[in-house]
Amino acid sequence: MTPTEELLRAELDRAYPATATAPDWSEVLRRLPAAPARPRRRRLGVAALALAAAAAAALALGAPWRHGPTFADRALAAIGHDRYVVAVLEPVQPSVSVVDLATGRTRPLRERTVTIVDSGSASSAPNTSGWITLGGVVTGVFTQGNPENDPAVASFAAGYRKALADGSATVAGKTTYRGRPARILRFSFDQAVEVRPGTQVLSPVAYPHGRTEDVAVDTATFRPLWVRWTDTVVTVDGGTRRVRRVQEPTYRVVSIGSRPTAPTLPQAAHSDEAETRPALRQVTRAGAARVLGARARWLGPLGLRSVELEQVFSLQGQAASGFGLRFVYAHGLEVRESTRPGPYGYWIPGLLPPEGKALASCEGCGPWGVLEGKRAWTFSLRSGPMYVSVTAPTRDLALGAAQQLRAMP
Amino acid sequence: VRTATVAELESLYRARYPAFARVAAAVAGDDARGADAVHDAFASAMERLGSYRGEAPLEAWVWQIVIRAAGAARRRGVAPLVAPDEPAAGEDEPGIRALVAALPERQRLAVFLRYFADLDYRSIADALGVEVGTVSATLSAAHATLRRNLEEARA
Repeated sequence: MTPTEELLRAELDRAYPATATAPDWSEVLRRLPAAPARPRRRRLGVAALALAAAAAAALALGAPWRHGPTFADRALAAIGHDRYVVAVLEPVQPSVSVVDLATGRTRPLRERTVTIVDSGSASSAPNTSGWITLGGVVTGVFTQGNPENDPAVASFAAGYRKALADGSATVAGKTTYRGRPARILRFSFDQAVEVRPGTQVLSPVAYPHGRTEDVAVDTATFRPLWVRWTDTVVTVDGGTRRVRRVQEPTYRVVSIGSRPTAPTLPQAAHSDEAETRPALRQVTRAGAARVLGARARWLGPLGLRSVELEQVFSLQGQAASGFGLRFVYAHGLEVRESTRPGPYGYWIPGLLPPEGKALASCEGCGPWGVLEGKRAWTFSLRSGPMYVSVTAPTRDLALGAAQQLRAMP
Repeated sequence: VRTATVAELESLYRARYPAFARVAAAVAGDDARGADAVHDAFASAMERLGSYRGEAPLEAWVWQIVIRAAGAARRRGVAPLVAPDEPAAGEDEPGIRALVAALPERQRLAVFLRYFADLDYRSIADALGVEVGTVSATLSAAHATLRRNLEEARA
């Protein structure tokens, strides 16, 4: 650099100090105009209109910058292009809540799944990890292949950016979410879920367009607002096959974006997960009252069909670790209890509400309930020294029973 | 024909934002208007990415858009070209801003791109849409004018 240039640089640096503003890519995205609406062709027949719409959507989503960025391009840009995609999702309708037993007042617990997808991993399937929180407590940390990972949520985080990039998304409609106009992008997958009654096994099977994933994308910010899956479920019962469509709960997209480094996985809360073996033996009422070493809780003798002693096993190592009681009442009502929380109460001790409140959840109330064939509400609570779960086919019955629990005489 | 992707555009934004913002602020008259111009320019670049044909590097193409956006921001606003260090009443020495503002536009832009964005002559040529030789002559003229005016002002 010549002396003149050096002098000039010094003078310019003094007169024009470096700008203090920081880069913010979202500022760029915010200034993008919404993609223009396409004019309607009223005279086309329904089928022709559907074909035209599909073709327009494919063009709008798939054209690689021929006429400027498409809606999908903008949605892709809103995520960013760094290596790690981090998606935070929570169900719009939480499935676990805390119930005040005195008033019946219910407070939903926030459930969140944080999924991290490493798009730069060498393997064909992207490396996925993340964690799940319930009421702010980390209930699980997962890495690829871990069954705790919700496959639908994970596939969203992994597949959304890819689908936007490869043009496999189509515009399926419009919607409004919390006052924000949005377009619904749809991804289709050629797979279905096969269920054989009597087993817990859900097997993926090939099925053209069997699974769809709808994502509502804000037309102003191009960020996803919610995601919802619809599955084709094939039930195989003997030689009979039935095909149904099951719509999963809607998940709100709390955030999704990319970053150059992966977030650190948190430590999962202490778990006391345990299971039970079928009844060791029937016990008398008198025996049941003190067999666990503390006075058992029950609903009284009315409608009581049986009392069974169960063996409790720790899930780690299948070691026998204690006993539990199972009171079977009429109308599908059951009371099960132990002196430790794992077997019957919630297995994350930090989540158990104080005495007077219960954790309420429902198995079979969601869209899969129609396949499971039964619905069971469970109230998990502390009652004196006992960790108790009350299960009933209806919420009212379970709540009423939880309110009437008392120590056996 | 070389095309570009939004990912490349975003990478360029993240890597070179300070340079874009500084040049745009100098052209537009202040930092806020400059930052606005940069963001408007990148949004515009995304909109028009299909028209990028790869004749010049992507950065040069974006520089053209940023410079136009910053110029438009200056014209829309009332920011004078010589605001902050214009000599106050009683001062004899004119500010360097006043001297730069007095340069012909191409010389002024070449100075900004050279000193604030550290672009070499080839890149400045691509950004301004001129030949490399023209950049050399333009900067040479700007240096001569500024040196002369500074010396005169301090004499």
